[in-house]
Amino acid sequence: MNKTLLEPTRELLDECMAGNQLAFKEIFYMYRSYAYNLIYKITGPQGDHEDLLQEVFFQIYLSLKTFHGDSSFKTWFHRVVIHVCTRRWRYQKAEKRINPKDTVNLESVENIVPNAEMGTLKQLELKDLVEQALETVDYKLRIPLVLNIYGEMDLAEIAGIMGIPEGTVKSRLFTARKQIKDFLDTTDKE
Amino acid sequence: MNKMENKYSLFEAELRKNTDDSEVDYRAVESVLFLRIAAAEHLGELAMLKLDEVLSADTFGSIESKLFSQITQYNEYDVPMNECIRTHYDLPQGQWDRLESKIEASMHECENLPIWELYVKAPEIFPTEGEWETLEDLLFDRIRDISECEFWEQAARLDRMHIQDSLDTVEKILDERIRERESLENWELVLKSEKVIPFAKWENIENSLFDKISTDTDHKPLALNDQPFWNILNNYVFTLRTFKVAVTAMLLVFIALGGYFSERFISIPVPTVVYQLQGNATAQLDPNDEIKGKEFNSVQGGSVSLVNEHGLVELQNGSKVHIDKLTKRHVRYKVGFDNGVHGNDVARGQVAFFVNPLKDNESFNVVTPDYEISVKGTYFKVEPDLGGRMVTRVLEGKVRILSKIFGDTLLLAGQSIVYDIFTESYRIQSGGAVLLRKDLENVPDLDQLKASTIMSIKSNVDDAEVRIDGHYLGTTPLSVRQAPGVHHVRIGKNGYVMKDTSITVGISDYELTVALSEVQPPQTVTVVEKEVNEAQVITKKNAVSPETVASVLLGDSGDSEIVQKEEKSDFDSLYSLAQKLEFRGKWKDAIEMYQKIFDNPDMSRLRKEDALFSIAKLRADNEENKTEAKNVFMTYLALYPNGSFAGETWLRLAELEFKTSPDNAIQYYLKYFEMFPRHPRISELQNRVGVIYLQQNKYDNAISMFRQALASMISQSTTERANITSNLYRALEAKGDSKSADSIQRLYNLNYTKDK
Repeated sequence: MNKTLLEPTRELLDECMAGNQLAFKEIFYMYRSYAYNLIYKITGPQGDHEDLLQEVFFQIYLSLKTFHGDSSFKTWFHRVVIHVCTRRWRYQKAEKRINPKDTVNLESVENIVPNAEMGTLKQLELKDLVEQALETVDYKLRIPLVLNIYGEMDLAEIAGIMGIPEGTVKSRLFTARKQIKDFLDTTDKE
Repeated sequence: MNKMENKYSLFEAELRKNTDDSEVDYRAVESVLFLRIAAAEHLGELAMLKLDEVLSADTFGSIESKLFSQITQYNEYDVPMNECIRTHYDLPQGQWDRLESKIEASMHECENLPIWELYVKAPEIFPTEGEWETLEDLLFDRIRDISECEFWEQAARLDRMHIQDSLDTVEKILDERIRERESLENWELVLKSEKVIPFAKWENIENSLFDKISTDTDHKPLALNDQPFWNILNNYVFTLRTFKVAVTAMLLVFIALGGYFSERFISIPVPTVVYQLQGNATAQLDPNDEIKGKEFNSVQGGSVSLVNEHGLVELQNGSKVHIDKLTKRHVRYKVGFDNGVHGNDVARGQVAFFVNPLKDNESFNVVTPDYEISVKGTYFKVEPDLGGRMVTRVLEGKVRILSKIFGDTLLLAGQSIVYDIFTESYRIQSGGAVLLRKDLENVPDLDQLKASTIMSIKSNVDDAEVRIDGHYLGTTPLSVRQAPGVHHVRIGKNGYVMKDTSITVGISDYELTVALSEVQPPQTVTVVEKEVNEAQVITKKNAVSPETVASVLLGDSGDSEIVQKEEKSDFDSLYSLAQKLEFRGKWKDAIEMYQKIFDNPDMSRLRKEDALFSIAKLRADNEENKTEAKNVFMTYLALYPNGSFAGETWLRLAELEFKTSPDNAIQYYLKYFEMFPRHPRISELQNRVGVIYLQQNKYDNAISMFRQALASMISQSTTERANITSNLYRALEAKGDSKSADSIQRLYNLNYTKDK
């Protein structure tokens, strides 16, 4: 797991569970940057990152009472992040199905069509390409990939967080990597 | 590497060209600085990550900033040194901007910290907790050593001379990470890179989060299982997409069927009981009848109260209710009014709903032919107005109304949705009657009612007021459910002798028939006779108790038996004796007797209350100077603010002050309204208060009071309604609101013509 992410002391956690907001601020400072980036990578550039970040820490504050120390705080923290992101993702998916605003109108079509000055995809930075590639990867593949590369976690840690067998994590990581490489190769050829 | 060396030499040359301060070891500073620049150049965004990891960006940023400013000062340069570096090393603009903003922000922070704290803040250098004290001592020693130096020099010295081990560790970590990164593909590096958030943004997020934490207390914690539900589905159940679709479809069908059957067949019915029947309704209905599927008609001059888990429904004067649906989750009443809506005659009656407090997602939908609203109140009523349009009044608490015509509106108790014939549209009107929660809480709950028995109270004259245990319940004939036990019943009517009795209700139904006798004019008894009789008594019986004296004073041979009983000092007999004296018109003796009852410590509270009230009443009725009576009434209120006669006392006080001090009278009337918002005479009294206001030229108050009087009218008396309406018209005219006055006038004429 990411070595720069420190495990909060038991005393600090106890203070947080007792409702001490100053103590919780310490945890917020320790994890905020990491959490923001994790959310950004899981939900992609279009996600509502600040809102999700707030939701994550709000849920951590509320749910700390249910954290009994069976796993490390870091593992538990990742579970909350993934839970919040997945919940939002499913909500948006459901909303999309019923939202009449999603029907394509002329205006939105015009916005999507690139104009001549925009240039080809090749000219886009690698960062944008990677973000686009990630968007093409299914959610359940994307989460283990982000945890593996950004969170620097091994198979066992990811399996523990997601509650799935290590073998499944391995195959998902493989598929995810393959999909991203395929996407990048295709855009390179273009 | 060539590029690096080239940059290095340029930078060094630049530095050395402009300073001859040989004591400063720039090489040490440079080596760290270039390491960072090189790293930044090589890693792009990752440089930001490195800043955090190596020395804590804050510490280093501060040092860097100070360094540049020092160099600038030494060299008398026009542009800061970092500007030179930017020119020479051609870093992307975005990276520099972020770096600079970070440096500036951290500089402010670091300026306020002692130097040793800056090091403590760098967790990678001294992470272990046990070494803190040693570290502190060490740091303070060092600070003393180098306190004469400039800030950046101190930092450089510390790095170079004293914490070599730590620097080695840092370098080692850096090397590891660089090697690790070298093994990664470019896209993985991008994925690993961090986005840097400006401090101002962090501040916003933090404030917003902690605001939410402090204010939002309704949320429940997450249910985080080790094995989340969706993962079980994804990994163990759904292996094939087609299978997934099939299972999902089956689940949906199952849920839909379950919902249908649960609503249709398994919905739990809620029992309803008839709580109270009054007036003509007692002849039409039996409280023990089966409720299911029945339509209730309160008939003219009667009322019916039904109680179930959702609350109480009260129908009056010909209104009808059909319980269309009644389960734990759902209740639907269909309401109708006598003579129909928009018929030839004006629709009559009203239906009041005393609803139990609602939960967040619950509400009552009121659907009329013209509008549909969602009411989240605890007491509201619907009734037709004079034109046959439905009026919805809310009488208690804050009420949220959701409707197409009014949107999402918060109404306070006392506001109603009424039809304005002038604008021919519905509007929200204020100034209606208001109820207090405590009045509603008098209604017993369903469990108590189910265990209760039905008490039927009849009297030889109808419309006698009935109070049970001090609570006004209605007028005779009356059937009401009461818990088994002892109850104090009081029945009275103007012009008749009030009956007071205690009854014991068992598990079977109880019927009480009361014969009220008219108050007889007092017999004329001369003072001389009294004295003679008194003397005779003293001589004959050698007993001087006032009870005996009084009984003899009655001068009635038929009362001699009572006198005999009085010798046994029976409290009840003493009380009835006082009453007899009162009815015979011997008010002074009656007062004396009541005073004795009141002073007796063994008397029950109810008797004492009655005695004190009777003293006050007798004084008020008979004495010319009413001051003493007022004082006794006040004493009563001071002793028994919630007593059985408290309401009547306020009313009596108001009547006494009505002519001499109208302001006081108004206050007393208002107290009375507060205590008995459903009293049959309420609209008449409100009309009276309105008239006082009108006389005092307080038009707004008068208008509000007349409107309340109209709203709380229980009787269907056309004369009374016409009286109140014309008063309202006068008040509106006097205020200058001729528009509203005209609309009232039209309404009044309309109604009046029709009635004719």
